[in-house]
Amino acid sequence: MNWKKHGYKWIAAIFLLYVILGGLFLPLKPGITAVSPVKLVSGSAVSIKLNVYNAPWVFENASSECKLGAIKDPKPEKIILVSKGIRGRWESQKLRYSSDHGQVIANFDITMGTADLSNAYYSVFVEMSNGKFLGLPDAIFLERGAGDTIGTSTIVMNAKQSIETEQERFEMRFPNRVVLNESVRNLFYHVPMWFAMLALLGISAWHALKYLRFSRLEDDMIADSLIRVGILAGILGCITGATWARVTWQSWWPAADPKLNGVAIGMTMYMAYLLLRSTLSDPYQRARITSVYSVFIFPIFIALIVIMPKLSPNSLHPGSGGTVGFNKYDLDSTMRLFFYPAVIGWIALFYWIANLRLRIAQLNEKHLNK
Amino acid sequence: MKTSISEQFDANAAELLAHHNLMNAVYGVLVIIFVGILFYLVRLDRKISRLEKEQP
Repeated sequence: MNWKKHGYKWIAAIFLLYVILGGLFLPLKPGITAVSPVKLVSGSAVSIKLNVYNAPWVFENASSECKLGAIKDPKPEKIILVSKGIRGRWESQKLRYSSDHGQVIANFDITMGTADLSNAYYSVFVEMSNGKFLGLPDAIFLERGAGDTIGTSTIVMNAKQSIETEQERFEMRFPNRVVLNESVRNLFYHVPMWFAMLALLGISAWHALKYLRFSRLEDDMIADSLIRVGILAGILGCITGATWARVTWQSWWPAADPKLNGVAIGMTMYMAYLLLRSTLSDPYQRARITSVYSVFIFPIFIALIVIMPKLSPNSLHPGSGGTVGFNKYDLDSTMRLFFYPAVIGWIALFYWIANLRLRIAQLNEKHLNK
Repeated sequence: MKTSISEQFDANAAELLAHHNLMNAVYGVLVIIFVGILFYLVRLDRKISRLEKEQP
């Protein structure tokens, strides 16, 4: 077998099989998905309720006999509230949890007393019996109650600050983010559509340049096939993105996002390419005009969907202006093990389709010349 | 009658869990990609058939 000619097809097949199986079946890390109440007033006894997704102490698929009294290690031990900038924390007194749902209820006595504390957002952590923590940053707003001005505070001063480092240990599990939850897996399916589109459009612009330099119709045919399949990847990226946005951002097409606006303009430019190409019949004229057009719009497209969102002050997409990238979620790099193969695999698959499209165009050309 | 904290929480949590299970979005995205690629391949297939027919 000719590896140079067919190798990328094998890469597409093997990488995508790995990415789809791993991306669907690897579990998420445990994470806190709900906290109630989200606002507390100090000076009284309160109970805080948490909902933990994929809780490590829950038997998901055990029979009811097994469940009786059988609670897996590690167990939740206490709930801790920590705020930024205060060297201390509140710890719960009593904690209850259920073994078949990841629910935890803990009682707190929160008194600020004479301590010099201001109203602030507190992060919530569950400390477990193995010394690990589950956390949700800035989950509860704590404000000083009207009567809570005298007496001693119940804050735990100078506690060990080991919570943050506990989060970064490597396990073969995907990160659990509050809004994303299971849909974090779409990183392997939605995002590579755009990588594939950019790769194909980029190679296409290169071949368009080559046509302008050497005037070989062969180069124009390659550029055209790549653009058409690139547009297919772009359309799939739009539709999958809309589906994902519906469940996470609560809208099919949040118009405030600069990346979406950029893509809308950019896709229109490429639709115009198709229109332009269909109106010209002389092959050399068509090749020259569309090559100039495609070389011209590719950098504008990059500016619209890569550079402008980064400059924009607010954006919903990760890694754009005002948001952190996925690398900040993926502290132990589990996602990278799937994301990079996904990008390579999807690019190879769309390149393969473009290759089929090209061979049809070549056959058509031969047929016409006969 | 006032319900207990734990009962309140169960209802609340069930609602939140239903809202937070976003696995369907992942299946949806995979199906869309699959259907999209399939649609394109069918179009290519038709083009090839046409070429084959026109061949002497």
